[in-house]
Amino acid sequence: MNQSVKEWFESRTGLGRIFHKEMVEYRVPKGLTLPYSLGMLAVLFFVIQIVSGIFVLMYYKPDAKLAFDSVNYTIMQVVPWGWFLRSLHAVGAGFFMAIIYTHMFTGVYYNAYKNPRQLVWIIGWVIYMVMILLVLTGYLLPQGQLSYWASEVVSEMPTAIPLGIMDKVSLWIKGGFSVGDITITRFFALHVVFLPLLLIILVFLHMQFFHQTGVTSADGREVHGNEKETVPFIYVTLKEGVIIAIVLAAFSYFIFFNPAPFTPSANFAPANPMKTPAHIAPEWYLTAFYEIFRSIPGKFLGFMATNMFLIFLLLLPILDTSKKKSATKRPLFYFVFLLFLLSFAVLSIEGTQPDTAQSRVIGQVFFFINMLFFASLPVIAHFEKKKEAIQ
Amino acid sequence: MKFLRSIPIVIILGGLFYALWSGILEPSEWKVPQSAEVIKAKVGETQLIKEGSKIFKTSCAACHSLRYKKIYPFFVNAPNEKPLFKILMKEHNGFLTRDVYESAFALQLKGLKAAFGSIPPDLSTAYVYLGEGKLFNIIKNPQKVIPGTKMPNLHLNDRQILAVSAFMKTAILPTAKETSRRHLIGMIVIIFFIILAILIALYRKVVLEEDNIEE
Repeated sequence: MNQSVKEWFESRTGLGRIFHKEMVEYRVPKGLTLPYSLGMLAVLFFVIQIVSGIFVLMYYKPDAKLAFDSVNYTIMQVVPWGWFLRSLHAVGAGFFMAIIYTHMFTGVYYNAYKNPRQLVWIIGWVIYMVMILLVLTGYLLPQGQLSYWASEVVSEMPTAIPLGIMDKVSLWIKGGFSVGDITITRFFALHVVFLPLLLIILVFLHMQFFHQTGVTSADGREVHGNEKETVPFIYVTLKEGVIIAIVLAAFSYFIFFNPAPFTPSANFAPANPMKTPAHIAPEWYLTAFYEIFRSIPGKFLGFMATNMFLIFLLLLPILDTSKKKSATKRPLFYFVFLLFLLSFAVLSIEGTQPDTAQSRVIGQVFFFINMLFFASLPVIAHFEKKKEAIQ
Repeated sequence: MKFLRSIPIVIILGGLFYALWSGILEPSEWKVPQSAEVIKAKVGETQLIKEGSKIFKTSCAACHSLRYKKIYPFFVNAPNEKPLFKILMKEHNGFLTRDVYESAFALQLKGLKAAFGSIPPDLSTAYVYLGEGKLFNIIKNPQKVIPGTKMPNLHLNDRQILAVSAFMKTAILPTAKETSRRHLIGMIVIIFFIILAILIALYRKVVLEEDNIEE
């Protein structure tokens, strides 16, 4: 019976064949390690976010006066297992972003932006941008003090560009002169409909392009299509299964024992437009940009500096002209990559702290180190080419 | 060698996530006195919550609401307001949403604003956003923590303050019983995932051996 149903379905859809080809037969290099599982983990957390989001959506009220209570009272206290759904969504967002960042840094480490994977990298970058918009629009929804003021800061960002029209852009984003009811419904629509749909399409493209170009081995060799050096994907799927189960165990710890790091205490104060908090900070995944923005003197320069990091990330396929792939074979690149990672970590941590003269100096120094990474790439490529020519 | 190369990366990323998620970046400048633990151990949480409920309803509720516990300021019991308040409570099952509460009692809240400079806030979530230390010190000496506030010092002793704080905690955080229930479920789920990881790893080993695949 089961078999005949399966055959009936398969003959009409062909989905089983596609699944088998992409998830079982598809060949990947031998000896893939933890960082290679991050893509699959990111997809899993995206699904968790969508499912938990749908349930939270059933009780959330996108209204300036009702949103705060609908989250902190209705969902957290009245709805059976509402606390679980909300924690799943809030902790899930933190894990999702942590995985996305680690996935992105892995891509930089293994030079996954080089020929023929430029499109995989570019789509990945667009996914990252959409994710930033998703977290920004989602951050306003609980209507806490942090939500309100962080959204106020973000929606004022366009005014950093000295063009008259930018005031109107800011006004258009907010739907008024300050963050209010219209901003919430606007952000709500983007957060629950437009951006997730866009993300689904982008993730599909990212996976398709990635499957088309294949994966390099850990030491940067192109082994796509080489039967001897590759294994069917199913063996890796099982390895990923182990890693996913371990990550889900850690995820469960935060959901059931300690969700506090993902629901900042300051956001439990209802939004108050008349009272600016002493210290405003976005969620941790944006604090590096926030630190750059506030430590560079001048609003416009700060805005440009913040965007430089993002633009240079996109331009990596052009900046890094070396033919060698993977930091494992490139000692100089490995060194600057560590500095890049360190600068990002320090900027992220410093961005959570109050704005002081000392924190601004730290921000400027580590922004400089961050930019040094991008600037050094063509130089390193030049040296590597020279060395190769001598050999 | 491959392993050594990954150590600095693990340290940097691990350090970043530890710093962000362990709470070490948010130290509170306000602390509860050391005697608090002794009082809590001696009196017990249930008793403290009971005492705190009484103090809140007789003192704090003069100005503050605690909507998540369905407690509203004294003015709702004024002869003119009581009938409306009764109807609203019945219609909304005891919990008045902010829009209903603020529009129904706009005049009274305005009166409080005139007297205190600002409307005394609803305290339903205050335990979390202030933190136990700051909340304790505000009740103990409001002027010291919020200079210029018109909130009066109620001259409560440490036990009474801890009782109010324990009661306010119940408005936003789960009770000790509910917390233990969540921890138990969490423990089961974590053990499940760990066993699942071990089983998948063992199964994978068998499959690799059977299919004679080298890694």
